[in-house]
Amino acid sequence: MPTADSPPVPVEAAARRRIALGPLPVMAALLVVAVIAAACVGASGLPLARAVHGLFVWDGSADHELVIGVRLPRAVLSVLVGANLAVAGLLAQTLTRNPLASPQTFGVNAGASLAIVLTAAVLPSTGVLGAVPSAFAGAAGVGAIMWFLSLSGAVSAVGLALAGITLQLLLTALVQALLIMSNTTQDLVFWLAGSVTGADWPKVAVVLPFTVVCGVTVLLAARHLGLLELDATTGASLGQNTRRVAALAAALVVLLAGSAVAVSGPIGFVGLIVPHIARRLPGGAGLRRQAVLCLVGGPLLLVCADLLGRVLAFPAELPVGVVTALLGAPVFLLLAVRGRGR
Amino acid sequence: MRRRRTGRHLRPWHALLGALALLLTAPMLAACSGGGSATDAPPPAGAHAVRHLLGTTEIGGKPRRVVALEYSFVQALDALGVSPVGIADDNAPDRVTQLLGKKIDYTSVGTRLEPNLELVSSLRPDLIIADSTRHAKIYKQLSAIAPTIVLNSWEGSYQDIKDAVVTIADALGDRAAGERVVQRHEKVMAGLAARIPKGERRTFMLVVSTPDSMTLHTSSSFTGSVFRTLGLTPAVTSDSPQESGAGLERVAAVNPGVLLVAVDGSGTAYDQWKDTPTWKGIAAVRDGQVHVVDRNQFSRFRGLRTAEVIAQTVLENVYRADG
Amino acid sequence: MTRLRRTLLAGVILLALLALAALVSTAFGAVPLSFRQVADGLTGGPDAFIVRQYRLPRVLVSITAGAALGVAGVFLQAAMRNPLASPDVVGFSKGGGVGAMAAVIFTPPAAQVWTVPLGVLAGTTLTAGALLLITRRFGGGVTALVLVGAALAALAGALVEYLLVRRPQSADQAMVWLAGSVYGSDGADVVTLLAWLAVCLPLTVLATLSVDIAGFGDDSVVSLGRHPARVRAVLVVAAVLLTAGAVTSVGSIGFLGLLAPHIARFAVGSRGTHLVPAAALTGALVLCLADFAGRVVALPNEIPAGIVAVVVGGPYLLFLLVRENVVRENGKHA
Repeated sequence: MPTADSPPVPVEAAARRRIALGPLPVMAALLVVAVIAAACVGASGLPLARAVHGLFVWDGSADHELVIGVRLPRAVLSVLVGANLAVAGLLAQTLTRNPLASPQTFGVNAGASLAIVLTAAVLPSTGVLGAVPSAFAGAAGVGAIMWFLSLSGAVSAVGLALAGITLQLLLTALVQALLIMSNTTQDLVFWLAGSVTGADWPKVAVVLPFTVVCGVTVLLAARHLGLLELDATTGASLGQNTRRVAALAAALVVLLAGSAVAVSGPIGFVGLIVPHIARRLPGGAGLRRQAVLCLVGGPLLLVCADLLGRVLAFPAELPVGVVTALLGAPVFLLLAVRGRGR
Repeated sequence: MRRRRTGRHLRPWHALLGALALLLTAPMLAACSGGGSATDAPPPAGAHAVRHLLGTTEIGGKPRRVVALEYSFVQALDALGVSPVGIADDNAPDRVTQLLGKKIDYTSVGTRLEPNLELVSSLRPDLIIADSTRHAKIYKQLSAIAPTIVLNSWEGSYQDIKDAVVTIADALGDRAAGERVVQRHEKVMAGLAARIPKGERRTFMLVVSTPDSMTLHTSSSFTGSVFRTLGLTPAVTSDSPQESGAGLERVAAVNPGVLLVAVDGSGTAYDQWKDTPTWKGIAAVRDGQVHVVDRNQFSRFRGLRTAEVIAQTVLENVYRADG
Repeated sequence: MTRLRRTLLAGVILLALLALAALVSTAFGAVPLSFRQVADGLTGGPDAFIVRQYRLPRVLVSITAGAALGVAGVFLQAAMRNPLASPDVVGFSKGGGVGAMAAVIFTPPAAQVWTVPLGVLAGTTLTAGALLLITRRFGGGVTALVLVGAALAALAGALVEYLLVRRPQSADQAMVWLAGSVYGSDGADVVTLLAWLAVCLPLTVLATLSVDIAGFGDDSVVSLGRHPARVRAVLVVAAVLLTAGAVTSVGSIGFLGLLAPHIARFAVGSRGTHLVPAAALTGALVLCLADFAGRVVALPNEIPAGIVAVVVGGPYLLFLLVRENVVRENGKHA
């Protein structure tokens, strides 16, 4: 695969910035357009002019409250969750040197949902804030298992992916068991597919710190994290404590994926596909650039998928997780096949 | 490991064949003896045919030992003066008490989803009433226990439920009683409807609040069709009884004049939304016409008595009229 | 002890346990019956329904479906040369589940007696056809098979989600179906399943003989005069047919296809002609016990057998997962 590899020696700052930017401005512009579109489209069929008016004129009118209080938090939550999942996927793929790694294929999402459903069954009235700690506990548990597996020897990429998928199946089956036993399937079907329907500003406030802190950490530590792509001995010879860097990466995956699942349910395929696309884009070499592309690309995918879900089933809606799954599964197939071809 | 030769597989192969043969023939013989002779008893003298959703069933005499596999059938039986011997009550006896407004003696036969057929059979029923959505698959087995009729409760409209009462009465050997019960009920409903002020123009909607969204009950749902009977207008008109996964904006767009919110507990979407400006902008909220109602009565039970309870609740809450 | 004697011993023990499990499941249940009543129930009388039409068909269906899934698991693991492959992981059981759900949603209840099996068969066959076709385009290698299988499983999962959301009213039924349940099996189910498996028997035998060959590297297979991709195709097709039969009668319990071969391998080693019958017996035993437990632990409620199997077998599988990776990789480096 031809990549626009960064030169090994430092070049002039301006030239580097040009390469680094690549398709980024276009994607960022698209994201802004998508967010505005998401704020202007919805079940109530508000005319575009009034929606735009509501978005930019803070007059306390019903239109304004709808756009600012309901549609915008949904779009913003999609942005944050999309960024979390894409970066988590990127880190998981780098950490395990496995192109099929993602919070979903490694069972991290399923672990978080199992913990949330379990909490809901035992302590029914905890709501979204109660979901956050349990989501982390579940994500961390699965993260620990996959961590152990990936360290237990040079497990082949395919072997690790299969182990993750098996773990995911197991956890999903346990979720099914809980739902059947507690008689709440019907109520949770949408949430379990992954949905931002219930988005509001409090949920945004829950996930925002994680996105910001973890995102900044990834960007700052990108040089160290990037060495995980090399094998352990090379990393060590470069004077890096790879163990510590790997632990940081794993912790970031758990925090990013756990907080995303806590507010939006287990949305799949974003974390799998976006890093691949980021890597294939011009200027997609190096972990920092890939992370930046994921921070824009993940939100772009999720906001568009949510828009699509609302348009396709109008005036009802498809949960965004179903849209990403239906879009993402064929892409996954393509990636699997292409990865094989390389 | 890899130095094995295929030739050495010959002897274990006999063991394999033996085991497979044993595994396949033994159950086959047993199955033929078990499945082959499974035929229903011949219909007793004086049997009458009752038509239902999965065919016609011959029922003899006046069945009194009845097993009901869905809540609405229990209400229908109670209205007809029969107390069921077995109920698929999801292991929630309180719900049956709430359903009938009184405590009755019965045996639980497990969940509505997978009723325990051993227990059903041990009750020696002479009639089983099953639901078309959930129990079509076990209709044959139920019929082997006792004459079984299959009706639409899970997705039934108000009319389906009324028809079901007549069919159940027919199965109990007294169709006229069913018609009388329905007529009496219709008179009660007409009386309740008459107390609703003329010229009501607001729209009515029941929603079930789930953890992150709401399920809207449309004009073809049970509650929706009860509203229509009372001369009220359901806020959403649709052929499909429910619209799931509705967000706040969807509820605001429907903008019902009277909103009944069914909740099971706290921590649902209703708690998250009720303080937002958009929720407060809904017509029903502005007029103080949001009423939190019991999810069992409004969404799970579906019976004649439930219809009356719904009408009463609307009268009391919306029109401040005593029941 | 020679391998053969060890296998025979394991076979006898498994068979004895299976017979015991079948006996216990027939004798005990929600309604307490004396052994005399059970014996009478076999021939007729007041308890004939409980014994002959309720417990016995469930015991027989769980045994046969469990055996089929166990064998299917062995075949897939051999074809993919990976101990973690199972009908679930490559999407066969989920594909079948999609077909069944579509049948439940889009056809009237009365017709579902035959639309559901057709849906399952169509779903599994389509998944397997896609798997073989796409894999063949990429040389039919093992890695391609595993990756494409995982991707197809993801696609089937996406469709399941879509159908669930399209019709949440029957979500809880679908959930039971996806988890797997022997509930509601009758004599006709037993006969149909056995007839289906009898049809599959010749191919099953052929596949059993291919299990060992598939374990060799592709070059060795060629040197033995066999076509590697064709050997794998036989295994995959046999696995599909067995899975389709099992999924039709008990829902998409793919998990068993993963668990049974592992336990069997532990008992008799990995030679195909030993492993296949042992995995059949293990699968039968596990599903029979799971269904029995599900029937009696939460009376009067029924717990689907698939759920019991996951809750009990899950931790064991997790343990295997860790050990398998360690052992296998160490073995590779040794």
